[in-house]
Amino acid sequence: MSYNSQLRSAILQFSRVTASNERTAIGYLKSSNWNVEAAANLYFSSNNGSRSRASSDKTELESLFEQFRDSSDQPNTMTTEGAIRFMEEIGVELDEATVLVIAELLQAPVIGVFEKDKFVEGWSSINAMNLETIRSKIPILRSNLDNDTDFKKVYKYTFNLALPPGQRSLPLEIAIYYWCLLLKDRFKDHIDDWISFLENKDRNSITRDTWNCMYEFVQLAKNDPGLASYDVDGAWPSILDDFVRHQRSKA
Amino acid sequence: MASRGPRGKIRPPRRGLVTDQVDFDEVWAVLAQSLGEIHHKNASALSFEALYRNAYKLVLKKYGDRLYNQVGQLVTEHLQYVAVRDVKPLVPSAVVTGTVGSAIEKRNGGSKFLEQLKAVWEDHQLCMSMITDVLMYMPHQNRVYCTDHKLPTTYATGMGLFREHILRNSQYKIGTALNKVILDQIQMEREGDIISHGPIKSCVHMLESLYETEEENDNEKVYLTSFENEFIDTSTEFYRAEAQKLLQECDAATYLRRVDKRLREERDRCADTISSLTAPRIQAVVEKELITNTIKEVMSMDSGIRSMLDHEKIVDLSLLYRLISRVDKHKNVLKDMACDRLIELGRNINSSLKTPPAPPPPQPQDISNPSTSGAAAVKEEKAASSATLMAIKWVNDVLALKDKYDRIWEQAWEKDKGIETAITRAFTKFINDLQEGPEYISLFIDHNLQRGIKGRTESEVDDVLDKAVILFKYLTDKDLFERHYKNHLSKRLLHNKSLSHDAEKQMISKLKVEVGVAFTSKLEGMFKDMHLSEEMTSEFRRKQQEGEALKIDLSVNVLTSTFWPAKAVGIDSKPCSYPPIVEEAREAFTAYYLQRHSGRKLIWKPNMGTADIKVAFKGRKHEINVSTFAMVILLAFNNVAPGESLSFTDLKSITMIPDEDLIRNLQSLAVAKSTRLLTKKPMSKDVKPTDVFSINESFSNPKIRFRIGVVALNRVENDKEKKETSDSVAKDRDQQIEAAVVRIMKQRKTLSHQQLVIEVIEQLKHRFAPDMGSIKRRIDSLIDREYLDRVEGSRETYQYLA
Repeated sequence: MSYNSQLRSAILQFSRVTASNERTAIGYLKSSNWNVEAAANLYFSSNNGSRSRASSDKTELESLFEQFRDSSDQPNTMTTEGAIRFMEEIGVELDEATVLVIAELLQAPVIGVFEKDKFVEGWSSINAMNLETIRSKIPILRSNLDNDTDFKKVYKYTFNLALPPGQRSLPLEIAIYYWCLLLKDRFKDHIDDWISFLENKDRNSITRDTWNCMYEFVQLAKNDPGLASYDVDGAWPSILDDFVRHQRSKA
Repeated sequence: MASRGPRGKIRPPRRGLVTDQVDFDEVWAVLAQSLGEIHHKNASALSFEALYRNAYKLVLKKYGDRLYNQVGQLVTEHLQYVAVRDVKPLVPSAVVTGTVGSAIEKRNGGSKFLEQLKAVWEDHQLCMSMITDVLMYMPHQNRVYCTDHKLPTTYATGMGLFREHILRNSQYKIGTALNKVILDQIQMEREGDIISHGPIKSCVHMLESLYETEEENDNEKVYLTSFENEFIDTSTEFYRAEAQKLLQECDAATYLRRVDKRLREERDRCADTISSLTAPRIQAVVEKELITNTIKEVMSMDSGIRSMLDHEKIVDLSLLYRLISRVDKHKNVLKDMACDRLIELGRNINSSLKTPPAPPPPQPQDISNPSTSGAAAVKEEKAASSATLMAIKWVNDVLALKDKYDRIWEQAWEKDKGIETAITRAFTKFINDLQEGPEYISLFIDHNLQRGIKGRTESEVDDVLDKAVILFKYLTDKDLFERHYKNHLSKRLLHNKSLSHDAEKQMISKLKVEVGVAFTSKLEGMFKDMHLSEEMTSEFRRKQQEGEALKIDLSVNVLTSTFWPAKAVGIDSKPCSYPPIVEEAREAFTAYYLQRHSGRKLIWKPNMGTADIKVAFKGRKHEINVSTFAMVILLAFNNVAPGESLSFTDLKSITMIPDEDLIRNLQSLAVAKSTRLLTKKPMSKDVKPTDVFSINESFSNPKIRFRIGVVALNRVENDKEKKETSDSVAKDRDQQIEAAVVRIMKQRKTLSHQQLVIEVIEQLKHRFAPDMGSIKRRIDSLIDREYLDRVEGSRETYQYLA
């Protein structure tokens, strides 16, 4: 099959933009009536497109990963020091909750550690294929925290991130640190009381169940700051019952 | 009547030309006159035939409607005349205007009026039926015709006219007067006068036969529309005033009787004076005014329910029950107030325990009963027995209260289910108010199984045990009862104090029936241990006799540690160093036992045992039963030359008995007067580490056999022990809650929080009432240990993780 020069230049243009071969280019161009821009959009939005593009762009992410990996680290693993440098590089402060959003995105096994394949997979999933685009995505990731669904995902993942190896529940001070980080806006009416309540209790760890239920409790407290609708006989962990009783007795 | 014309032509007769000519006025005049005669009761002279034909003629000539109207007109005029002539003069003005007249005057005047009205009514009915007969062929008689023409029948019209022109006579207000007279008569009867019912009944009957419209709907009887409401209103007023009067004048019992009487009166009145249609409404009025609105006040009187209950006034309480049942099928007032009093009485019983009862009469000493041992021991024994006395008093008082309420419930309250539940709730409440409740019930049983049932027949024993079970059923903390029962039972078994093995078994099987095998299995295990130990001891002895015989007789109770109370078998064994002849026996038994049951561990509890020792003082031999520790102490003196002494420290290092037990045993042996086998220097009531002991050569006791007790077991718990007990109770309960949660979840796989909590409480109700906090903490812990999890997306539902 032969094409005139006009079509040929379109094929060339498409191939260059999408880094695909001529056959793919012709297929996409045909189905979008030889409009290069439309064909490119179709290509990038389809699964097929991202996979084949990723194969070429992954190299960039992989080399980015290697840049921050310390040579003494395990292969394919970036540890704290590199992670800190990476965060600085992409403009994320270490004491902002966005760190946790990124950790969830990259499925970090513990805080401060990234694995190469998860790193590449995570960034590709939001189409951030190089340092430049990663930087540009940060504001979006930051704003994810305001969205209940995304926040819940990050919140629940944080327990895993924060869990010291070999333990089943979070040491109290670690739990308090992450609660402050994540809940300072959502739970601002009660967070100080909650923390001072925890510090005065002889319990020194927080179970996964308490951590998870805390999310729902925060949602409840947001809609009902007086906590009047809280049922102390309901299916809440008893530590929350104690807290609500404590709050009610103060009122 | 044919006319013959000249032409001789024959024509068919024109029928009815002449005869058809009917002058309505003429015929009506005849009819009207005759109907007038009927009204004047001269009907016998009339020819029904002639009248009937006249009426028929008019109808045939289509004068029907006109005739109908004329008849109506005629009846109206007659009734108006009757109202003036017959009724009006008899209207008793005094009643109508409300001026007070004498009873006789009122009764006579009223009766005359009613009689007259009745007569007029009966006349009218008679006349109307005759008129109806005369006008039989008038189409208006025919209901079909009438409904077509929307005109009522002649008779109905007649009745309607009576209603309008007599009762509702706009000039004389006869109906109003009638109501007033009837109500006045009823009022007189309510106040105790005698009235004659006949005339009233007749007039009521008249009202019942009249309707608001000629369609004669049943719910539009004049009785209902004009009379009944007024009757109900005046009655309401009367009974409201009556309630106030009775509340001031009567005591509660009288009040109830008056209400009962009023209810009967009104029922009778509806049957014989006014209409039975009114019965439900007037009953409701009396019930509302005399029961619903006031019964609480009546019951709160000094003579009210409190006094009735206290004095068991069965008749009054029964009447009260029946009256309240009329107005409230749940009988809430009765339930509440009866139970309030019950709880009050129960709490009185509880608080009367705070003031201890008079000291028990001194018990006659007998050989089987121990003599005293040491001042402290005496005091403790006293405390223990006064606790038992208190327990028995409490149980008896509560049972007496229970019996009393049972009698009332049976005889006065028709064994009402709702009340039974309320009574049970009340008992549960105050019995569980008393912290010592579980202990007291167990002590009561202990007392009876040790002494109380002596000489009683089997069925009497059964009764006593049943009573204990009644109270047991009310206990919420059945696990606490189990604890105490285990302690008491272990003392009875180990010290051989139980009077009857059968009674013990019986008690256990009663408990088993109430709360199941799980509850009693450990108790039964204790019996089994005793039984096995007996067998084992005799087998051991037999074997020993085959070989080299021991120098002492040893009998051993081997207790399974999980069955017996911690106090009896606790791990905190108190070892001591036994004298060689005892040690030899101990080792022999240990060897025998371990050979029989390999892999078991035998812990010796010298603090639990006793020994029979033979001692000779001044040539007199005694056989003395002492504790194992006391035996070890006394045997230590065997190695001491006569007159020599051993210091406290010596004894301690020889015997290795823990200080606490050493002191307590030395107190029994060296301080208490009658059992002073040892002398102590210096003499004092307390044993100090610096004391020195020697054999009391001058000891004498008239008895050959006696016992030196150590009251270490009946001691009241001190604070530390109390805390330990309550901690161990709490721990035990936590375990049981957790086990219940796991059992339920294992079976149900997923379950909502509410449902799980309900089922846990249900499962444990035979042992104790678990509190919400404990249940939730157990659930927390099970989630944390990954036995349970919350179902994804539903915090309120748990799932079991296998």
